[in-house]
Amino acid sequence: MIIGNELRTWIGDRDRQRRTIAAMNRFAGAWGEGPFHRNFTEVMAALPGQSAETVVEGVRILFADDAWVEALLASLAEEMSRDPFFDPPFRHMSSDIHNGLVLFEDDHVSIAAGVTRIAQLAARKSGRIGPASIAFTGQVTLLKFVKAGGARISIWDAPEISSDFSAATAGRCVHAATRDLADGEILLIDGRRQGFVIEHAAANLLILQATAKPDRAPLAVEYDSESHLYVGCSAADDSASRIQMVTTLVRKLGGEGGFEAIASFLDHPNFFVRWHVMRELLGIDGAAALPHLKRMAASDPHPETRRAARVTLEHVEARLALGKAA
Amino acid sequence: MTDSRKEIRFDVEALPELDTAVAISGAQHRQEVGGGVCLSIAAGIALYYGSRP
Repeated sequence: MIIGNELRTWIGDRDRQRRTIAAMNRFAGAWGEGPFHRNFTEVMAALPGQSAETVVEGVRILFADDAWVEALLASLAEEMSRDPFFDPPFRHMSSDIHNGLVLFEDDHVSIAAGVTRIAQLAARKSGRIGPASIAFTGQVTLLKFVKAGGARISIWDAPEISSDFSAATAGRCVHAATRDLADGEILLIDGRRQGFVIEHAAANLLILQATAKPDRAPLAVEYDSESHLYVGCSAADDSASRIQMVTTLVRKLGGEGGFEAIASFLDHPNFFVRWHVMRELLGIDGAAALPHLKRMAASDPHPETRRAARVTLEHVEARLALGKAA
Repeated sequence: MTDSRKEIRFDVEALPELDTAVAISGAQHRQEVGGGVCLSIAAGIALYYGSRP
C-alpha cells in the first residue's frame, strides 16, 4: 500500500484526527438542527395521511426551492478543501455511475442528493456487453433535476407490481414517452409501474431524490431493454432479505429454540418470504411445521405459495407417516 | 427435562421453489441501461446466498 505524505502525517497526528472528527460532528450537528432538516421534519410530521402520494406531495413543496442544495455542497467543499480527510457525515449511496448522500431519513421518506457522472454514463452506454435491463424499483420517487445535464430520458410503463405479482403474469414493459429534461424539473416516477432510462446527457446531472416509504411494492422488477420481456425480480425491501437470511442461518445452526420465532414470519406480507420461512421450518422440525403447511396450502393469498405448499404437503405427510425425512 | 421426541428434518434444498424466483434486495439480474441505478440505495446486506439467475 502506497501512502501519500499527507495521509502519513495525518495518521501519525492524533490531534489532527480529533480535529477532523470534531469538524464532522460539528457539521452533522449543524445540519441536523438547521432549517432544511427542521422543515422536512415538520412537513413529514404534519402529513395528512401515510400514503406514498401524500409523502411526495409534501416533498414537492419542499423541493420547490433548492438553493439549500448548492449551499450545502459549497459548505462541504469548503470543509474538504480545509481538511482533505473530512468525510461528509451522511450515509453514502453509490453505483458505478452515481454517487449520492442521504441527507434526511425518517419513517416516511428518504431524501438524497447525488451526481450522475457523464463520463461513467457514457462508458456504460458505449461499453455495454450483453443484455441490459430497464428497472422498476417498486418505490414512488420524486426526482428534482437541479442540474439536468441536457439529459434526454425515456419513460417506461409495466404492469403494476403488487402483492400477487408472479413471473408468469409480469408481461412486458412498453415505451411511454421520451423527453428532454430542463434544469430544475421535477419528475414523479411511480416505480410500482414506471421506470426511466437516461438515454443520453451532455454533462453531469445533480439530482435530488425523495423515495417514499409507505405503499412500496414487495419487489423491484427488471425487463429486457430490447425485447421488453420480463427478466427477473428482487426484493424491494432489504428487511425481507434479512428475514430470509436470518431464518436460513437459524436453521443451519440447528434451529434450537428458533422454531416459534421463525414461524411468526409466516404472516409476512411478502409471498416469497412466507414460502422461504415455511421451507426453513420444515428443515427444523417437519412435524411441528405440518399444521402451518396445511394452513398455507389451504389459504395462503398468493397462488404460487399455495401451489408449492400443496405439492410439498403430499410429500411431507407421506414421509412423516413413514417416520423419516428426505 | 429431556424432550424424547426426535425432530424429522427435511432437506430444504430438495423442497419445491416458487415459480417466481426472487433475488435478494439490491441484486440485479442484468446491467441496467441507466436510470434506475441512481434510485437504489445500497442495502449493505452481506450476500449470504446469491441471487438466482
